[in-house]
Amino acid sequence: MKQPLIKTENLTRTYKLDEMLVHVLKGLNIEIEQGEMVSIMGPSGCGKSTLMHLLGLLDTPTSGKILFAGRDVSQLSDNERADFRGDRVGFVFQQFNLLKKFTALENVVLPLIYSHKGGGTEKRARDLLAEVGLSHRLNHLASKLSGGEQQRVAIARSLINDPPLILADEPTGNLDSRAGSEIMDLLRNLNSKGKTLVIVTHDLSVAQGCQRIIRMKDGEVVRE
Amino acid sequence: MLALLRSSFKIAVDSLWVSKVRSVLTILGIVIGVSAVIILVSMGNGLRSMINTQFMSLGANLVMILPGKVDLNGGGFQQFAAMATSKLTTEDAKLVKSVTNVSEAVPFAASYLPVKNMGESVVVEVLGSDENYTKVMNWPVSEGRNFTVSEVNAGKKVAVLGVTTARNLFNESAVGKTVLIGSERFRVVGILSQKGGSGEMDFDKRVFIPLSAAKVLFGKLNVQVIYFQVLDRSQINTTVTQVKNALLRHHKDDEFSVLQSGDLLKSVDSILGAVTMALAGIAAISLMVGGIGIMNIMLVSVTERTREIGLRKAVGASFTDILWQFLIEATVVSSLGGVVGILLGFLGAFVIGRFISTEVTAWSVLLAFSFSALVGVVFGILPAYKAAKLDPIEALRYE
Repeated sequence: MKQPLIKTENLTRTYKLDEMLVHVLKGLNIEIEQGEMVSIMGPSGCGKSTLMHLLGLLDTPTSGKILFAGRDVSQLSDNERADFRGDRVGFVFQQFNLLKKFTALENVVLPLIYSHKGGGTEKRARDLLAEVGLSHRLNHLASKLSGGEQQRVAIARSLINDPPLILADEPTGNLDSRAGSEIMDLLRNLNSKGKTLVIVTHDLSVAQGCQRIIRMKDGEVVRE
Repeated sequence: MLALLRSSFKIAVDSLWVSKVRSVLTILGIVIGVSAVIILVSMGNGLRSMINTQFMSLGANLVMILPGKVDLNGGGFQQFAAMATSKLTTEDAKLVKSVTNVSEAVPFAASYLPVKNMGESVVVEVLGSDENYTKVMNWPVSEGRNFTVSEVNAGKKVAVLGVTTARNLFNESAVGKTVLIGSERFRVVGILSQKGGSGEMDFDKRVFIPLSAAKVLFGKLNVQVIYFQVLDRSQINTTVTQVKNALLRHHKDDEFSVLQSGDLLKSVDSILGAVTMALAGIAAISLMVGGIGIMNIMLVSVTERTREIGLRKAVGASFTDILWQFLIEATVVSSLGGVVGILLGFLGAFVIGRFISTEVTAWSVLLAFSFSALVGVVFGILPAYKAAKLDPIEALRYE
């Protein structure tokens, strides 16, 4: 039987805010197949970012399960979660989150420090930067790059450990429309090479560039 | 691990470089601490080796007989009192000299007196002795001559001056001139060669006169110290016992003490060693203060770099990875301070060495440096723990 890459079972996440319980996710059940490119849409506060954090194991669910390729990853230890984030997931953020004092190349190899993979790393980082069209910017400091360029470096960084899943949180949110559509082209290209992509956005044009849209509202999936 | 080390090192150096003023101020605490340890220890050691050399210049075969019971672990005051009521005599010196293996035994009576020449006047230690003091103290006359046995026997008022006193009192050669010691006029017959020392311990200020003349001048008949020298150093303990037994025939047990220069040296050395350690300890406190400065800055740095920490966690950094990164960073900062402190310490010791003797020792450098690195680790723990504990989501959202 072919397993979905991601499957959630009754996933809930509740925060405590000044003695009040805020139910951000209320028993979410979604499935994302290997090789899919899915966008998650919804108004602010619908829980889409929380969902993404849970899928990337940056956060732990209050209850429910997350199955990653059939394996329950919702109860891992801190160290196991860190390893999971390093090996299985690549993050792309709205704010890029590059280290400003580091060059593009250094930013791309950063995750390797923690994944204990050695050998040919610089070559791989160069290749990835070439793939995102930045071979002429290898040794530029991140702070000297344009927004679009920074996001490309971030995408190259997310790929350095060759994870099956890329999680992107508003990847075009801080970019002008032209740079944004270039980034979307890049992400679609990654998808065509077999990566599974989950993109959180409230930009409809971004969502429409994906194969499937999961719409959320008040912590629940309203429509697929 | 190696990659983490390298990257942490780069981050540490970068963040130091970015805020230069802050870095300099942070490191300054460690720099001052480390250099203070090195300089103070070098001064203590300089003093120790200076005293060592002076004792050695007296000769390793020298043994002293002092009045009263001498306790090398303290009791300096009683010692002065014992000097005043000394029961030792010239006859004791003769008795000691008759003991086997004793080459010379010389009695000394001492008093601080003003020594004058025309308008110039200095107060120095005047020692009455016989003509053999130059031998027993290993201290030859460099100009003129020593007083003779007949001058000693006749109680002639002749004096041999230490080179400093001679210089202080006379513009030209002092030999053949007269000086006023206390109220008596003495003829200067010789100048001693340079012996060294400084302050109260400056041997070159001393003035020697025949013991017989000194007894008249000081108005007391006893002697305060007898120095004797052994022929065969390997037999020194036997000889000391024999000397004690000889003296016990004329004196009570608590009326004299026999001290080998080695014992004295050891006791002075241990006192100075303790003083040096105390100085190093005080300087080490400033290292602690420096460490607190590092902790302060590291805490600020963790807050400023919250997002960076969040990102590192998102790309796979574990609690331990982040902990290490900040510990390494704190250690780099403090070690850098250590290195600069060592350089400054050497420089300081060199400059101070032009005035008083200093001696930089390897152990103080090593100690100061490893202590500064340790300070980095200890005071890095809290900020590093704070960083490692950060929730990645909160950290990534941090503005």
